[in-house]
Amino acid sequence: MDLRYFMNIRYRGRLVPDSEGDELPVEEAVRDHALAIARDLVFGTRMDAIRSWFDCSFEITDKTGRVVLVLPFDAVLGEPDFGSA
Amino acid sequence: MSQAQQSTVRNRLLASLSAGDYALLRPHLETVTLEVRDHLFRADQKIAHVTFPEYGIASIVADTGEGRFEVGMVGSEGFAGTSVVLGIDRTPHTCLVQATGEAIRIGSGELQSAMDRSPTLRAHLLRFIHTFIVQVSQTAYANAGYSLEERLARWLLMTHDRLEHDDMPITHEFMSIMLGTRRPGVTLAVQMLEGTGAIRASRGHITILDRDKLEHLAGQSYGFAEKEYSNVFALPIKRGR
Repeated sequence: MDLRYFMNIRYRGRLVPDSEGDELPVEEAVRDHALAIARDLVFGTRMDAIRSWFDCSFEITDKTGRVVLVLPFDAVLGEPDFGSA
Repeated sequence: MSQAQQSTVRNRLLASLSAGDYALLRPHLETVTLEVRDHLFRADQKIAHVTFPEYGIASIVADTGEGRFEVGMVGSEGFAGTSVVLGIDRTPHTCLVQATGEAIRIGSGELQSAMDRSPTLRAHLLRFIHTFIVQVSQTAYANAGYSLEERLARWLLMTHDRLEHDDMPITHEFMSIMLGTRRPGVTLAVQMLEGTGAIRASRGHITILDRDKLEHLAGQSYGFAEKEYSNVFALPIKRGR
């Protein structure tokens, strides 16, 4: 079975489709895969067209077009580890 | 062995050698085809041949284990295997074919013997190495100071310079390796360049529509290395429009 996931990006309301996709061993791997890519883009890539990577989200679909995961890029900052008792 | 006549050779370095220097190499020259992803040499392994592309493109790639990215590009304006000319028989980089083509190659030992016999042959090849160092330095400059869109525009121009057509069969995955970034970043950059009308993108293909626009988008990241090649060899590297 071809587990291919398409890393479409939504930026300020506009969806930029991914036509190539990435193969992953299991669907559970999608979140970590997306986080690793988002982390590299946020901390390592400067683009003129993207004012802030934190305005981007992944809308990841499988080959049937089903949305598997929506992940805002600010997820790379992690869960807050303060503010709770 | 092809032992090609110098007058029919398309590699600009071989074609611009003196007749005497070409005659020294000719008995050892061999024509080979270049298929995408063929390795011309591998990191830390002995470089068996120095390869002069007739057409097609070879990429010199740093493979760190954590990722791969392109550090240099060569087509018919030069040769792959610069370390051999500098007297070193291996390098930490890998060289693989980026665009299908044909090349003339020579055994590393045979080339070194010919250079030992001819200071003018060595000087000619060293002049290319100077221009190649300028190209690699400009890549470092582009990586440090330019956005992904500008770097993609530069890379597409450099690729276009070394091809004879405007249509390039390349995936976003491949461009992401060449530019040392993540594929979704390339997808965004391709869309941005397409939006300006400089290129047209379809799945697995990029077509250059407007070189002027692409050069404008690349800004100062493109052009220095190309000008240096033209100054050194009195041959243009940039393609006409």
